[in-house]
Amino acid sequence: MPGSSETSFTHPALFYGTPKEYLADTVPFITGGLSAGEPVAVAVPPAGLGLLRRELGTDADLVHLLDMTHAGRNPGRIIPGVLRAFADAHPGVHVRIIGEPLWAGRSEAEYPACAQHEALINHAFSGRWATILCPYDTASLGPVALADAVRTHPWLIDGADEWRASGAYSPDDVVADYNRELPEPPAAAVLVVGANGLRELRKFVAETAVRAGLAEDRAHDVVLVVTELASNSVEHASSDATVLLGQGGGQLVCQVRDCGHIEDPLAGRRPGAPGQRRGRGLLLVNHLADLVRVHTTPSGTTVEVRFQLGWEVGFLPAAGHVSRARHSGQRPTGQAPRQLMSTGNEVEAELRHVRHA
Amino acid sequence: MFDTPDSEIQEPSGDDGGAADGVTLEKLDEALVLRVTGALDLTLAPKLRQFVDRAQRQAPSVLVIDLTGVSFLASAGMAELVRAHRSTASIAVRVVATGRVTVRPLQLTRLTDELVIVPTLSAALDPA
Repeated sequence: MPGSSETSFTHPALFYGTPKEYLADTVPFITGGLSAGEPVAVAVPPAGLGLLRRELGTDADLVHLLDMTHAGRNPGRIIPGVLRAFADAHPGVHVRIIGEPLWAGRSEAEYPACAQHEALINHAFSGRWATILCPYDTASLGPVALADAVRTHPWLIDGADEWRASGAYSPDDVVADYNRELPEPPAAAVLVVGANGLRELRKFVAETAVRAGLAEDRAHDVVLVVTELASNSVEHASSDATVLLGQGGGQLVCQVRDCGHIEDPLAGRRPGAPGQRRGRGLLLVNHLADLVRVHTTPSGTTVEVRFQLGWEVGFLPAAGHVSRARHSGQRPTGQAPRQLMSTGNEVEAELRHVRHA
Repeated sequence: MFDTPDSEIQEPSGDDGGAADGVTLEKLDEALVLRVTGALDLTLAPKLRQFVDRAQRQAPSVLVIDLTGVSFLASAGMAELVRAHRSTASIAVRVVATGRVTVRPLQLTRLTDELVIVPTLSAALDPA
């Protein structure tokens, strides 16, 4: 594979349309790693895990297998909780990871966070000795998702292990494109919180979470997440935090708005480093929430967090849940990114290539 | 084994049911023990820092930060644990934490790998 020299990071997108194509490229990637003695992890939805288990046989026991619909439910925690967690556990060697953060059942609210996550992997792993292969299901994902994959991955693989450099690679544009305004949650209660209001905020959030039906432990997670966001506002933005708490689509939706600007796109995505004293608040938020979205500008920031109601922490959506969504033809997003027009030609050319492969 | 406390200062801050938010300092054998109760968040963190500084000036061989009575642990509180742990090489800092409320945030931020965390005060005072 290209670019696998020491200290270099390789981040290809693999476009597959059938299980056969999926296995044709993922299996050699895995077995090649195993025979070279490299640590290999696979974080994909349950359907892919099932295919790979059958195909790999006993070799599957040598691979770190993770259900991405669970471990990566919030795209913002995939870098610290899945990718870096595995890479950091194997220092000094080249690691191989298959990471599939996007599937047909992803919601419209989740999609922008998926695209930004894919873009930010390039920064988070810059200079590290790793290869992260990201499969994209061309049969079920919409054109926007496939076009974005061409922009977030420097390498593209199609068909029979053909590697090409992406002509439209522009991850920072993708991060910027999906830095979108977040509409207020429906029928939200509003609380303005200053430095002395954290206790009152916790009480309010705890009561709301329990009333919404969350179990005590999960309600505590919600309280911790909202406290971290409000604390960030009070501390870093030196402003009050405006907290909006509502429900919609079977989720508890909370926004925290302030006058600050989050300039570091990797904030909350770096795992805690030894000796690092501060900066763990957004990391906790990413680990605990089911979805984190951010809209940040020099004049203000909104962070939106969502918590699934009706199932508890640790619940694994059954494989049937994912495949049902797939057959219903649901698309992760119906909205084209704003910048797609200006970069459209390169992306279109890349996609034609992918489709004809 | 309990010496008379050198100093005991409690800073309750008005509560809605659980233990009052506060920090106390006492001496147990060769160790100084900071007991934190209530919500260790942005509001209580500066108080913990003050007490850590005070305790470290007394140069004990062991400084225990006991979170057994903590009902809520936020990153502002964890920052003070890291600061205490790293500020002096000559004082062994041990954190007592048990239960989901304190242990889970420490695990998720990988601080369980960095700090010395024990489940009970007696384990923290164990010279071995």
